[in-house]
Amino acid sequence: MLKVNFVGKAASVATIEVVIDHEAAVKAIDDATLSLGRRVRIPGFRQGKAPKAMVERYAGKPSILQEALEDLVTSSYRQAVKDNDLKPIADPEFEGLDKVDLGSGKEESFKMMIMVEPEVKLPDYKGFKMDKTIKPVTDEDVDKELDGYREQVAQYIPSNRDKVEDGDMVTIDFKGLLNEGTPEEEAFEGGTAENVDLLIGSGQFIPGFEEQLVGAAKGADVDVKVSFPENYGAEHLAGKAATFKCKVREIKDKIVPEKDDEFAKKLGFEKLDELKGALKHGMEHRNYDSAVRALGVEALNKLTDGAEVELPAAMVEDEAADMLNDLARRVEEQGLKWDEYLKSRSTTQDAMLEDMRPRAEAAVKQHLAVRELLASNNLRVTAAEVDRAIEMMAGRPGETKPADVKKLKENDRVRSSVGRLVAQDKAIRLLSGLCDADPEAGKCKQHHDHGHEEHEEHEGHVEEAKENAGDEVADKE
Amino acid sequence: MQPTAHDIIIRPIITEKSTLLSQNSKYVFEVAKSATKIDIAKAVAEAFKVTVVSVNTVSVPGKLKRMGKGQGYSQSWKKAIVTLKAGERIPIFEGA
Repeated sequence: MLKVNFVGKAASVATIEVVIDHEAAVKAIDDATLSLGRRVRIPGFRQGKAPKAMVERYAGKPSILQEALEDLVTSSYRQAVKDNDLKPIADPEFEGLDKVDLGSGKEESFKMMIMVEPEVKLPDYKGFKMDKTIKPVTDEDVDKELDGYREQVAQYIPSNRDKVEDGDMVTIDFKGLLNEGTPEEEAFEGGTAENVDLLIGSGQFIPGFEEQLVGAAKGADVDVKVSFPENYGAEHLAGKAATFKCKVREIKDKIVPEKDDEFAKKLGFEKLDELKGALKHGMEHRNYDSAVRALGVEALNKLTDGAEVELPAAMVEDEAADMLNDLARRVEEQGLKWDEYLKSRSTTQDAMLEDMRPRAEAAVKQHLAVRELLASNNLRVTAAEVDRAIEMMAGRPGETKPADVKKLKENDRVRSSVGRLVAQDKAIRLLSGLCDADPEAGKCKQHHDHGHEEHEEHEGHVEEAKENAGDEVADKE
Repeated sequence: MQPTAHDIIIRPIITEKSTLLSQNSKYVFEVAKSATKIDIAKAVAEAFKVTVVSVNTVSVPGKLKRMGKGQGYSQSWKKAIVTLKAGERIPIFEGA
């Protein structure tokens, strides 16, 4: 008989002892011989028709024993998972497996360590009652908002002044040259353009460029001498000096609409006060929404803090390694070598990994808490939601190529990390609804359509129900 | 020089068919073309220490083999089916 005994569980690792007595060993060897016989091709016999003894002679005793042991491991693993209702999250590890000799005729045993999904005990989050802090909207805020809006709709009218001033919009042609005046003089890619609108003082161009245009006359040719910053995006240009031959074609004044009833009328309001009222109302909604969100975030933090969970070491290590990789990638994106970065901070990869540990633990804990929270509320992250989130992160259509978006969608790592974000967002929304001590506080009393959270939430649920049919869980780890 | 048992018995034929026959105490060998049934009976009895009841032989003609534009015949050989006394066995047919 094959015995699969549950020994114990600690830190989300279940230990299983498997005892194989002689009878079980013989049966396993027999089965292995049969299944091997089905696979090997022995001359003189059709595949699978050779007698056992022939198979044994052909395949060799060791490979039969190995096959038998592998089968035993698989079946005992399955049995262990089934009997003890385990939810494994990684391949099991073995102890003493290499010492097992099925051919010994004696009782043999080995141990299996199965890492299981950690049990998460959430605190009574339904009892979290918190007040949200809604930032009041002051008249100053409204004015600022209005000013910002006026800036946005500002118009540029050709000016009758003939000298460029700070704050003007100028239309220029320019041609950038490297090594100007020397035999190696050359124009470079992206350095030449015509009819470009440039707002002086906007900082759109490289530092120093816009300033040198101030005072230039309309129609004048100006040589702008600048150096590209050291960290300039195009590597071959970074740190180089260049001369831009510019021609100022047009100088335009910036006309910001006045704050008056007329401005309000253009936007469909009777009076300026009405416009201000509408703005204020919109801002109140925004502040309300962000207060609700902040409450959800706070509740999630509290939930994570209060959650009891034995963190599986492997998960924490993976997380820390991920964080380190992330950091390494960011460092290299900035043009530094990872090794040099480590050296400059006089640290090593291992030390960094150790430093990451507390943060990794926190992240894993939150992730587990979120998962448990969603599971206990029958919410899940669907593949379609992950797709949508990836699309959103990829930006507007055209910003990232559709093929690249598709690649992102098919990348398991991307999927799982985005899935986590989506899950986190869901948890925050759920908690912000559950833990609000006074849901009515600060809510807009007027009946109108502002695209409220509740609406979205509701639609979300309907969609979810549809998607759940036959949809895989995006967050599988 | 008198041929020995090993000159007469060239190899055992181990195939599905011969394994099936061995259950009826019939064992199949490739034998020297010149060997007679009596030679074979003696050789098998001597080599495997068994009692031979009867011997049937077949001359297996060579097959036509082509190699590019040339063609020729593979070696023809003699097959012997040796029936032993019921219950007697030859171990090499059982994978041992």
